[in-house]
Amino acid sequence: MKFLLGVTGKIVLVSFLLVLGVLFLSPVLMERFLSGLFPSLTEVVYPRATLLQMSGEHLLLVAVSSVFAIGIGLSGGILVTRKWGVEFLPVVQDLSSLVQTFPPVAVLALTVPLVGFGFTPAVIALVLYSILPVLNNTITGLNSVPFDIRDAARGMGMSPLQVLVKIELPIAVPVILGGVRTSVIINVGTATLGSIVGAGGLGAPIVSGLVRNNNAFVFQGALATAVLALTIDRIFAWMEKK
Amino acid sequence: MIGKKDKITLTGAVMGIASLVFPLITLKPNRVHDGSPLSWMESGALFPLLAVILLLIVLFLLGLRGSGQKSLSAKGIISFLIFALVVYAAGPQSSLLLDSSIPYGRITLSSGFWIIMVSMFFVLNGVLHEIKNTRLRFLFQLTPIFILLFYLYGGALEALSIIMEFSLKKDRVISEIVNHLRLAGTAVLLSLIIGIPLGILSWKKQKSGKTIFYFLNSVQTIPSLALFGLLIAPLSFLSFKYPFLREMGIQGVGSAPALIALTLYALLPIARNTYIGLSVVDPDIMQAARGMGMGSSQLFFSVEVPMALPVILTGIRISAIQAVGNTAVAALIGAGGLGVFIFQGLGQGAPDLILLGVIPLITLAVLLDRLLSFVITISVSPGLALERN
Repeated sequence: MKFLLGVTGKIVLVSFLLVLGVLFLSPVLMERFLSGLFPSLTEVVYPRATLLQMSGEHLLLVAVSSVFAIGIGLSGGILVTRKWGVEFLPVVQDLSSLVQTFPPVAVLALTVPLVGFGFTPAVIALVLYSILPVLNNTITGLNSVPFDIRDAARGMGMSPLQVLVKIELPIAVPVILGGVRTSVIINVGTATLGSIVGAGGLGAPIVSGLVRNNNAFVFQGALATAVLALTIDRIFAWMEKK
Repeated sequence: MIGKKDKITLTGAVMGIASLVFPLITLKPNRVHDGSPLSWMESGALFPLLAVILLLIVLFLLGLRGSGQKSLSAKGIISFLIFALVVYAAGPQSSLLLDSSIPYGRITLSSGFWIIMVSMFFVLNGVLHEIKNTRLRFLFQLTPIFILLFYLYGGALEALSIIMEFSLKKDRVISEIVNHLRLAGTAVLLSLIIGIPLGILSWKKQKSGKTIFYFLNSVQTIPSLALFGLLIAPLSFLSFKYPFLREMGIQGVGSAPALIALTLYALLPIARNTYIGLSVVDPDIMQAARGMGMGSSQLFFSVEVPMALPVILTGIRISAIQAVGNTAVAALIGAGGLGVFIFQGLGQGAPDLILLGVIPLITLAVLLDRLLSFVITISVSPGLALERN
């Protein structure tokens, strides 16, 4: 059953992606397909950009904000687990879990009055929102390193930096990667809302379709976003297995 | 503890002092104009500024001295005084800037205000973690809320743009809050009705559990806006084909697709935590209970449910917070709720309108989080709590 599910799941996924890939790359086929689905609409393909371009914008947004979030989360996690930073641990955890309670739309909308519309507010909101998983998992990962191992490493004459780089981080890597995965997936989702602050991405045809009452626009944007999110999630799952 | 520096208070004090060079407020000729940022001096708050500087220096010195229980209270009280002074400077004090020369003038809070607020949060949070007296801690947690309510009810903040916007649209805001809570609440209720049996089922039948969680995980991965979008086409097709569905209010846009999507999202945390909750039940305890002669229904209700309850409630908490946030997105498909103000505000470039949606939204989420965390702590059965201590 499990085997069957895995194989059929894969076949369905791959054929689905193939069909979608063809539609993505050929605007003519895409137009025929959408006109078939939505016969009453005159304009069915989102005119501002192709799905491929919008996926590019979307991925750029995700990549930039994930890099920042991972950088901040990782260094923050390391700082508050060192001897001189441990006082900050509860405050940092409280602050970041408070921000995590804020709805993503709220964080995104809040950045607009501060920095205006465009790419930057979207990146700021995405970064703020995706630090917590990396931070939390870094703290958990580093704190899970048994004291004995650390002690032994110190006893062998390693400096605190060497203990961190050669012992603690390698042991914590699987846990940290789990946090990175969560944070990237959150970013892929929140980046869809980026279009409401003028950052483009795959949310653009959805929002534009909703405003103009064009279901074909909504459908292509939604489908592409869903496929992108699921694909990235699968890639991470596959990487974790390796 | 004396002799060891209190790094958190020191950081807060330094951040607070640094915040003073940033603009405190922004004065706008009307509600959509960009306006000009004003520093503390420019907004006419000279005396509050001097008092704040003095208090920050005292706070810094206290930070150098370390963290005894007595100095904790002092630090807490100083951070409250600073909080009150900053709100005074930004509110009543700067309202004096609005005169007949700018009839539609508005005052909004600027970066300096927010930075000093964050730094006081820092100090107070550090104090709350160290304080041992529970009553004092409770009092300290409530004081900022009291200060804010005092200003609000005293009418001292009426000149602030966001308060103006609120009093103009008061009825609308309240009705959208109700609408928001109804949508999110219905979704969570529906997912409880479906999710808990799903969790139990996938725990009893591990194979179907795999399929269930594969599906629910995939749903969770799809961004909310996309899921809303994907439901519009099929639902409008259905309501076009079957008029009785339309009469029931099921259409492509509106609350029907919103409710379906919100429920689908809320399912995973509830079902997953039900499953985890049941699987963490200690087999030894089950064995002991069986040995005591418990029947299977008694086992379920007296052993498994109490042990799993806190975990399940955590799932409900995650679902509820998520539902409150996702409901804001649902405004885009015409389901109403607080998102209405956010998207209108973004469309018109009116920051106050955005805040009118964002502030109640964040408040709702944070209150709900605190409330459910409290419920989770008291839900731990006395027997289990004893074991943990």
